Amino acid sequence: MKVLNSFISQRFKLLVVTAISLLSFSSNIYAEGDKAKGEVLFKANCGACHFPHKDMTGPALKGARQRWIDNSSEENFYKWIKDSQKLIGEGDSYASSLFNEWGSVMTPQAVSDEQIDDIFAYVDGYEDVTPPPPPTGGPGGTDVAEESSNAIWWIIAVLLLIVIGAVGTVRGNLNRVAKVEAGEAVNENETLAQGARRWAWDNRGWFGVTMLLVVVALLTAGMLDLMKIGVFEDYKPEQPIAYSHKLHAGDLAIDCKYCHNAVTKSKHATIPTVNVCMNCHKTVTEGTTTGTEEIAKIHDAAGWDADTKSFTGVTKPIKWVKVHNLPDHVYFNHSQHVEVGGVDCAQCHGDMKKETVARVMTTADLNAVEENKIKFSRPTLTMGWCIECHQLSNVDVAGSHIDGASESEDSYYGVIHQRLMKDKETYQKYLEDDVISVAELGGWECAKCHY
Amino acid sequence: MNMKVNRMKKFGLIAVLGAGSLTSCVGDSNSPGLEYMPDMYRSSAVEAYVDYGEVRGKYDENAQNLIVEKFTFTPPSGTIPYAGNGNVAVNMPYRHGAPVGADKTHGLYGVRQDSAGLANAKWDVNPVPFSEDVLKEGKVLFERFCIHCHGENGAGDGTVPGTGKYPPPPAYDGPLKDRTAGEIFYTITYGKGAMGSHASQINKEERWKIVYYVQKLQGNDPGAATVVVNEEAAPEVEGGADAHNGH
Repeated sequence: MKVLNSFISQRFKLLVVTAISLLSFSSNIYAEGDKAKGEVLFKANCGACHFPHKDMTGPALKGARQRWIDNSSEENFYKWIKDSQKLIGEGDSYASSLFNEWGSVMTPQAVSDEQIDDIFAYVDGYEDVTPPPPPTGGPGGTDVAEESSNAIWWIIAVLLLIVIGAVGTVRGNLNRVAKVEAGEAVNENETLAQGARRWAWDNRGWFGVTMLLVVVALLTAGMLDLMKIGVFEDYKPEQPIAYSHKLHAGDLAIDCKYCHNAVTKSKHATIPTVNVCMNCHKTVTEGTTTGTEEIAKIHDAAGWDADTKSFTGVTKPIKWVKVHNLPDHVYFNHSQHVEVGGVDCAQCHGDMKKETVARVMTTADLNAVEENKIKFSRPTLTMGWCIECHQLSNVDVAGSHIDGASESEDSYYGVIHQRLMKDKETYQKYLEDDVISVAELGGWECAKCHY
Repeated sequence: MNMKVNRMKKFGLIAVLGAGSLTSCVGDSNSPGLEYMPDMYRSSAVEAYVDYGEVRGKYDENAQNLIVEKFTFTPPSGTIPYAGNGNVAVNMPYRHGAPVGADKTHGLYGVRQDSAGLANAKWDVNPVPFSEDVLKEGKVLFERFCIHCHGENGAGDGTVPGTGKYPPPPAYDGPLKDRTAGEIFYTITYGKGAMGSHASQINKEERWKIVYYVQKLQGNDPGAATVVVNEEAAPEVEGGADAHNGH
């Protein structure tokens, strides 16, 4: 009995072991690597150039081992990862063809055979879980709905006007009939203009007052409209590429100055050249909301062929539409404000992390940003707006003076501060409000901006 | 009867005109609105970001060509930027060429290629003298240009690879721990793999400052100067990556 028992358990064990080994053999016919270790190794060493499931700088790694076995040998597969140039030197034809196809040297990896097994256990078991992009036109849907509801309102307005007109005509006719029945004289040949004049004269009291009010209202409206000339608040033209600041600066938290990098050195904040887009979009070919359509425009401009994964050399300019316009007679310098003045982008451009393409923010938008120290009352990009900020913003001059430095060696604001200290009267006047504003340091001089 | 029809017609006309003028008030989002003296918005002196082809709503190709042909030039190759009392050694043309095939892989059109570029760059010495202030500046620049991919501590866990759409770069204190200052500078200048060339965004002095901060994140001592200088393997170069002007 005992013998039988042990015999059964022996057979059972054998069965289980065989089953397990078969199972593991079918799931990974090569070496048994540790997927978890492999994932860590892959991300640290391979992930910069390879995806498991699709080509990037280097080919997709899924099935790479099998490709090597088919075209060369498994032994060379390990050699290639450790030192690809050495293997090419040894004259392996698959190695040379890989190098020619991809055109760049694979960095030699200091990994052991076991670690390679770990990596490929992870890679070969990798399933792409990136969700497909939602169908295009999603965000556009609300606009369409809004437009159609607008159209409904217009139709209702026209219908109401027709009803009012009809009622008015009926009333006029009834009046005339009443007059004729009462035996009063009715001028049948009276034109519309004559009728209107007679009617206005008959009701001259309140008609005069109403007309006066109408004239005043029209003049006021006209005046307010004239005030809008040269005010570009809320200007948001359509751009050649449906770029999203919300995605790049907001969700991905890329610094504004990564793309607008000349803002610290130049008068202009600068629109990034296409090569800056390509720093990421060589790899990222599919957007979350627009799919491949918009990114393909970047590739077209940069001369990137997504099929061969190489630059062709045929480039095209992207014609962005300029949004923030200042007249020619105004000088404005970004670096002076950002680098010297330490003004944050949001003070003048608002919270771009919630916007798509560039827009001239309204004063309300700018004041809505909590971190903005200056709250404006004048429209964006007008002179009153500049002047207001120059008056309200405080310059930290005290820290700018270089200790013991002569006037020629001191910093820009240090010089101004030292001169100010000599003139006690002006100094006291400036300090009355505890603020040394830009205006007090010459920010209100005409020639600062107009020359 | 005739008069009544007449009145109705006139009333209808007024209603239609009224509705028309009301709808015309709805703005065109592609139009900036009325300008006060429109020509003041287009400088007659040549300025950046002004479309000289467009004159009062019409496109004038000749005007555009005049500007392109007469006024927009890139500096001759090898030009050294003059920036007051800046560090001249920093601004000298970069001696090492881009990796072979950089025009195809990284779009560095017209940039000299050199198969030994990276190997020669390995022992370059940082020409910016080290100080704690420089390290701080390097940190600011790192947080502007590198952090969204390489992450706060250079571990490759930035916000961009965090989406899973972009590959994570290797960690500075991991596989990249032994990269020398010269190699870091070379990589920022010409890019590597998925990383593009950042030469058009970050000038040489800034790149060297970033190098110090990257060395700190590697866990190395950024102040310790690299002592071995491989002079014989450093040929003179006409025009470096900075002669390439983006595209």
